Amino acid sequence: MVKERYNPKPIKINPIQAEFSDHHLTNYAGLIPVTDFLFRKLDFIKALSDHLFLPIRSNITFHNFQLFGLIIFGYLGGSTRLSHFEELSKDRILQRLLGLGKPIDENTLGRRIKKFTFKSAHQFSTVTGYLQRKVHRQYSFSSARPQIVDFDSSVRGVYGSPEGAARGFNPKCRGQKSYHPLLAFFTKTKECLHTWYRPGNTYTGNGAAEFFKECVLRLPGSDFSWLFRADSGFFQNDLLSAIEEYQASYLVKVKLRNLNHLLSKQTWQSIPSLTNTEYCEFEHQCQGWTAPRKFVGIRILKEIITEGCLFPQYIYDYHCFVTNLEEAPLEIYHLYKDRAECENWIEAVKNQIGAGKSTTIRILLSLIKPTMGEFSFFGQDFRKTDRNVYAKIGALVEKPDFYLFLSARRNLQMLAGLSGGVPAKRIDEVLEIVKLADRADDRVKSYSHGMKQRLGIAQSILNHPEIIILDEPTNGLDPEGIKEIRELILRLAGDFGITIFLSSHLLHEIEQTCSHVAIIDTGKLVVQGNVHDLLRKTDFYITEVQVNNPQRAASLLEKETWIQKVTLGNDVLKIQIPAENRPRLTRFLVENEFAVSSIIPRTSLEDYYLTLLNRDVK
Amino acid sequence: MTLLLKATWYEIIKIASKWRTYIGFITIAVLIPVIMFLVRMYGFGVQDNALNSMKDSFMFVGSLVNGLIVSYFLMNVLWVHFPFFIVLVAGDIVSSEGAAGTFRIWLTRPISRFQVITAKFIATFVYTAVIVCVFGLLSVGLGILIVGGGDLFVFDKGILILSQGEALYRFLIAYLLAVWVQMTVASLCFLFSSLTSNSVGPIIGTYATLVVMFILSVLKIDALKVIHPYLFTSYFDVFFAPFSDPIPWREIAGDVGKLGIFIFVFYLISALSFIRKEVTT
Repeated sequence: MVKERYNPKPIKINPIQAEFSDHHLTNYAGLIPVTDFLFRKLDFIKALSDHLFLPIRSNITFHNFQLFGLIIFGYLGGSTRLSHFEELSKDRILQRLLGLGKPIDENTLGRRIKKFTFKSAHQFSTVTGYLQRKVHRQYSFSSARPQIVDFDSSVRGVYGSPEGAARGFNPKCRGQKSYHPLLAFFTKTKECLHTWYRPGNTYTGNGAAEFFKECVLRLPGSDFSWLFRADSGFFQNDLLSAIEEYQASYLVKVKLRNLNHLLSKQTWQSIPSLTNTEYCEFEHQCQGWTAPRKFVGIRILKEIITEGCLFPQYIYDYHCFVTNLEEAPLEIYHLYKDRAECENWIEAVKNQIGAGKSTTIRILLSLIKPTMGEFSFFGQDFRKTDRNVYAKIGALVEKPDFYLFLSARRNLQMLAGLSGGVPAKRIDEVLEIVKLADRADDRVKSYSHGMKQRLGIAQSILNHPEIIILDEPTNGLDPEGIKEIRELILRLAGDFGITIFLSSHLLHEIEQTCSHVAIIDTGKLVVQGNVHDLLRKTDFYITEVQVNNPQRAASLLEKETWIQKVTLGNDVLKIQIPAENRPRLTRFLVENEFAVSSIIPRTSLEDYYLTLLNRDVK
Repeated sequence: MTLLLKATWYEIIKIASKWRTYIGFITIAVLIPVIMFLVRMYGFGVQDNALNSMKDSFMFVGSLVNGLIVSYFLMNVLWVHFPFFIVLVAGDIVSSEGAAGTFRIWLTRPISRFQVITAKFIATFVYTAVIVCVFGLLSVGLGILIVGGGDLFVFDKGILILSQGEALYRFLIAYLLAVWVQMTVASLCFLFSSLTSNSVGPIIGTYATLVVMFILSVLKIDALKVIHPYLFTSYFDVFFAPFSDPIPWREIAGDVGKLGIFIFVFYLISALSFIRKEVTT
């Protein structure tokens, strides 16, 4: 075993000219500027070469920058599993972008990731810090207000016994093994400044002072004043002292056993503009502290109980912070409340991994057990459901994993047998439906990903199911493969009358394939219903307009109050207006002497989704 | 029950479709005839070895070497060497599917996890039984064919002379017991296989456990005697018991029962672990 000093010289990365003509778009063309940014501007290869030394052999096939480049591109494309990365690496454009001679299989990727020791993780953190500093140099901040860094921790429950997971305080599922990561967010840029992945049995504030010191090294410059904001889990002397030493500000919620008693002794002053809110300011020295610190208390009157009491009882919500800020107490209170945004980012970071689609499907198929809640299948409670009910269901969960050393026919024979007996003729039928009849006796090993996916669908319809559950069936497929699978799904629903329950994050695909949709965000059902009804009911419409002078049209339309939003891209105006205002738009353009080539109302599921979840419309 | 039988049959098909399954059979098929031919040509070495401790007290006239005595000596490979062929398959049977993700499709069928793991366990048992029986048949059969038949002289705590018919009967019992012994190794490896997602770990783990346990069970240290009953290797010599006179049925039954407990415990832990196993990633 040797420490590999990465030598990127032998790898020649050929520049790619993306084609964006009307008829052709280079596959994954969007990654070309990303590659340019990563490899040329950030010098990612050099950063890895200088700072990361994995205990691997010198005769390795793939360089670290190729593997990590693939992971970065994969994440950008929504891949979350090693198999997805493998599929992505089969793309020829991506292979050229990363200088890959052949695809990287998931085992190779997994093995390399497993080489990551604590030391390597630290080294990798140095790499990301180096890259962050390069990006931060481009920032320009106002020095009038302090820049805010939020500290928080989060619990992520896991199944099985992954390395480092431990039982600790897990509010969502008591007793479940979990991780308890520590995170620092830079409020200005909404970037995750630093993270520590810790076992679930670690207390929130453990090592917070050291974590802070590492965060400081990642801050974009020391010319600004900094405010570190955290919840009560971080109320500890070590952290506060470290922040004071750095001469930065802090705002941390207080956690003390005798806090109520301490607050009750203070003199509360009313705030003239808010009748139900009072504040107090005082200095207090907790046990183990070398000097007292400033505490700010806010109490908000919730209710006054008079019934059954000799004297009226005032019920307050108390909030207490330790801080070295000079702002007014109410401002401090509001400054802390803004921290809720940080909580949302953490949720977003956690939930980017999955909105809950695959988990829902896995629970439905009893591949994992739900920690809470219930569901019924064909009218039966899931706890009492006989496994025979699964004979009525066909399913394909993500990747179609078959026995590669067996033929497609043999694989189907086995699954038919386990489905309660299917005539041999049916196997030929399903192979015919998915157009694999001529390759039925070949080993699955020799199949392409698209063929495996079709075989996956074949196995799901073997036993004439009443419902087919498909989890991201077009994942990792090229455009042709996606089209084939889409047509197959439509044929199954149309010709055979099978209900298909499909999960996907490709809303365009869903719109073209499904009659009904349920949108899940961060594990919660946001909306469900008929796709066309949902789109019809919404008062959100995009109208695409092509005119002779789009720039001038855009600037005129922006001034109109009845228009919600105007964006200009590729000489096409995308105008957000209610449907009833569309004639007015036409009139407006004609009256202003524009030559209108087309006005196309467009309400896509994607736009609907983004509006629904308050995300920006592209 | 039907599903379990079908699943077991499919597991056997899967085992039979893998190249690694045949490593053991090919080795046995090549090695045994070679040994038998060598013994036929240079058989005196084996005879000397066997008679070494007896030659001061007895005088032997003629050749005592025949196929049965060679087969009897070959049974010694069942201690440490033969388990390699067992773990090669047993170590792969659960872990490889966990890694390949094939459980995902199987478990969306009406079959339960318990049935899947039980089917795999039964298939492992079938493979173990088949390979041990093939070893026994080739060893005894080729021994008689190539080296020749005759009475079996067993040199253990004295001399026991068994007629060919009686010896074959004892071999039959011995190999049935050997299946049980090898099944203990297989079930331990099966347990390791159900806990991991690669087949190398279970193979090395089982072998390491086996070697350590052998060392502990052969060391005649008083302090270690306390743990001897808890080491399954302490009962491994049960397949030599049928070559005693009279056959110690009570002792054999005791040892078989104890090994059975080990097998059951290993299977139970495997099943419990598999029921909770993460099969979605």
